[in-house]
Amino acid sequence: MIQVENLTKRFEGEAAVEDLNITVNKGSIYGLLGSNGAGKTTLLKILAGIYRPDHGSVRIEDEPVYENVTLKQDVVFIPDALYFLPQATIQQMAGYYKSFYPNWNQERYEKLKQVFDINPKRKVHRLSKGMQRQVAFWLALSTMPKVLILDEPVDGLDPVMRQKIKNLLFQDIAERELTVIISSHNLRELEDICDHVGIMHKGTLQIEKELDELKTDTHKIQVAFEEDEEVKDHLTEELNILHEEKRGSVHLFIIRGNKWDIEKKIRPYQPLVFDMLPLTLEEIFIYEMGGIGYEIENVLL
Amino acid sequence: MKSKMSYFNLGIQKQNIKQHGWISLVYFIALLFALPLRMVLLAEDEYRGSDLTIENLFASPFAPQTLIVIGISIVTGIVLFRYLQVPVSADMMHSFPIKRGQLLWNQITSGTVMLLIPVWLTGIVVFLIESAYPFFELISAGDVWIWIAIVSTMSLFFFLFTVFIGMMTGISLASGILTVIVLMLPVGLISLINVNLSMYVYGFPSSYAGGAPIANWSPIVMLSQLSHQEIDPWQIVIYFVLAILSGLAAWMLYRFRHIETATQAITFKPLRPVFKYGVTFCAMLVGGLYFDQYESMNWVIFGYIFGSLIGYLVAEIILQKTWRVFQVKTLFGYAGYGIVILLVGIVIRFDVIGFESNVPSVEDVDSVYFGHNIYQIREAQMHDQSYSKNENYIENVRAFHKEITTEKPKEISVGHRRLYNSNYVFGYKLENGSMVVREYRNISMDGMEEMSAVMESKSYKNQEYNLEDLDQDITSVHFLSHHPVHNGRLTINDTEEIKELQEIIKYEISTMEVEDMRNRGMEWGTLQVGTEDGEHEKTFEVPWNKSFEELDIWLKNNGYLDQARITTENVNSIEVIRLSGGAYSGMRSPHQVFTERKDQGNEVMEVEDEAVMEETLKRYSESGTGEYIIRIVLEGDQEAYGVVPKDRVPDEIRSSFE
Repeated sequence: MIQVENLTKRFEGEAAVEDLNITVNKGSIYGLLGSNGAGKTTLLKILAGIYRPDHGSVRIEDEPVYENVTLKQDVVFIPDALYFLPQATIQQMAGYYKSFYPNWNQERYEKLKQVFDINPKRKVHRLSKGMQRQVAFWLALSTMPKVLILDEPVDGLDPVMRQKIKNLLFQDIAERELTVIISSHNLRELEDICDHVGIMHKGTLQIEKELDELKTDTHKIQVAFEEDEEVKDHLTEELNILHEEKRGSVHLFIIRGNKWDIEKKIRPYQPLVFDMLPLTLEEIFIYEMGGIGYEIENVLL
Repeated sequence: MKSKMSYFNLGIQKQNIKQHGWISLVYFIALLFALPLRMVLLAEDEYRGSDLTIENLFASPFAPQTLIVIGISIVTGIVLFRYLQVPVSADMMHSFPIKRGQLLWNQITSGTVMLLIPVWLTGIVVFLIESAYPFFELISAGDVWIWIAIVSTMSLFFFLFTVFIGMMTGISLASGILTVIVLMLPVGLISLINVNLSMYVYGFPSSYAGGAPIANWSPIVMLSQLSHQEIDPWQIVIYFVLAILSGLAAWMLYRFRHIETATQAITFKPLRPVFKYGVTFCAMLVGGLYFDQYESMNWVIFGYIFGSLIGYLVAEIILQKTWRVFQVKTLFGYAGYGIVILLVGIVIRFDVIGFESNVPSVEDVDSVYFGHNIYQIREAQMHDQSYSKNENYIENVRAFHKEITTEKPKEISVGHRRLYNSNYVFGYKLENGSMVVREYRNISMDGMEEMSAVMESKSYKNQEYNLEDLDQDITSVHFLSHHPVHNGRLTINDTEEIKELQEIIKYEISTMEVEDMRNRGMEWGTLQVGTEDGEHEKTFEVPWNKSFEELDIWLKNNGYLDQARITTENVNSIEVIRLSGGAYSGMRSPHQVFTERKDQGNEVMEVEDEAVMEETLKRYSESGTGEYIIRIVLEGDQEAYGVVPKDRVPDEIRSSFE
């Protein structure tokens, strides 16, 4: 379990992360969303023990991360901008990682060779960007981590490889209760793997939700009434409407609340049209955030 | 498993060898070229000159090694800690399960091994060469050991000091530059402050406050002086301790360093103003010094403002990493600095601490030195000579000093500095053991009473003219004339004559007056007095002024005059030019002025009368200023030039120009 409490980190007086709280359960995949400059990378680097927080605590398995060697042996960070030792081959990099991570699993390393299918004698610097990212995953997974911190990990990976890596992660989560934190500014990338999602904006966490809950909690409804204005006023009072639009005589509402409750409240007005449509995760966020007053739309797409 | 990993990480070590091992190789080759190879070349060189002897391994033929030791050690410090200054590698290294202290320790271990192995290998090669060539008989095995100790220690010191500085900056290049600056700073800054202070503080002894001992505070200067200066063994120990302290300091700083400060000029916020105002201050001093050459206060102030502004902006540009620093906030910082400096300036200018007027009171003074050369004070301090405890003398010196501090005579313009010896140095050794030293350079003073009281005293003459030494048994007196005389130099050996001479010289010196002592160029030459000192003759020198009339008479009576100094017999002719309208600038020699005026067609008077010639010889000065310039043509086509001031010129010459 990862616990972040009241975390604040400033750069040159400007807060990158401010008074942030996050809890990530063991064995889950946590998606961290946010615009550029929201503070995602800063948070991840603090989680990885690179940056020292100004205030607040960062704990993994109830132990502080910063300068904690024993703990960090189970934590691997794959940064946004990858770094490999100059002129090193994959094999040499593996040796280097081995000297830091005592749980390094050579067997796993050999096995993963077949998955990634890159010659370990090649120099990492000569590889393409996407291949370098594969190498990063290869090395990270061979250390048998308990916590994996990934900053924008899917950049440059082709869909097939993306799927392969996802499967590897799922496998580790199932077998060893691996905890994964993934950051991205693209919601669609996270939609099908995360079980929790948090949205950061200006250094703070705006929303933190379980995805299933979110999906059952927000609804898109198309309705039309005969006595249009009157009914609408009633509905605005009775329901938690996040967003509304009018297309001709048809109203489009995004409403938060239980599916059945909503239906029960609308039916009595005898709508001419009544449709409940599924929402994509992206839409949910846009409307949720819109509700809090942020123009998140431009930010997440 | 865990303990095995804790302090020595094999992965890091392997990587360091792979990535940075070249340093070790380059160091070894460079040292081989600078020392053993050079030794072989020297020993094999048939044309090296028989007087060349090599007394130690830092001798000047091996000088490049200093640069190599300093350069490569600093480069090692930069390269091994480059991982800290590049954001991506800094992130990766610190995401690994390893403590900062361990990372540091591993890098330092690599660096130390990489630097020491080449030094030791070179040491072995030097051993072999030194014993193979008889040319190096002056170099013992001990010398080689000392070389190994010094070079090992200094390599380690420069390496660890660079690491220490590197912790404070986020730019690799800056860590190298800052290291050199910081190591030179004590010497540079103190001498800069000294020179600047001496521009305003009346009597500030700049060469006493700065100078040699401070130069040794800089290891760079210290290393470069090893060719002619022995190193104390404890100095090696001190540098070794300093190296370890630098390492520890680096470790302390590393623990507090924020990794995200990579690429920033100064990584610790509290150090930024120190850096900024430090650069501003140094630039200000340099600016003032540069414009001091115009000898105008306005220009110096302009230099201060200009220098500090440039320094401030450059520091600001470095810190903000943009040249667009012209904001109101920037201006405020500079204004604040200006106000502080102005206050400091006022404190110095108006002598708030009473430095200028401080003349120690009699009861505080243990002994006193008065003279003309600041370096003698330090010499005297070491050998405890030249300090007089004579109470009367102390009182006179104090009175003279007080007179200077109240009168504050102006500085003589550059042109007239040759005329007199116009530097005055006062040194008081106080009862409490401290020193009060003042130096007044090139101040214009007419012979005042207080000055006469000091300079005509026995103590002063003992110190400056060896008056006391003349009381010993003298074995010989050599007359060293400034101009060649035809019978060679005169030496008196006869016991009787020496007795007479001794009394006359003693009389002449003890009756010398201030004006005679201060007038430079009014000498026939110097007298070398020999005394017996065991088997050898020991000599000391006393002046031989033209004012020594008794001596002149004695020489004449004994028939030595023409052997001792130039007389009319040596002179073929004397030509005189009068500079209408007074004196010429003493910047130029009489020779130059005479030739120039003659070419311009000035009237040249030839002195023919022997008596006038003799008078002219006695009255001309070799330097200084005056209205009449003379050219003396000696036998054998030799020439001499001189000046005769208006008030000393013989009447015959004056009238011929009227």
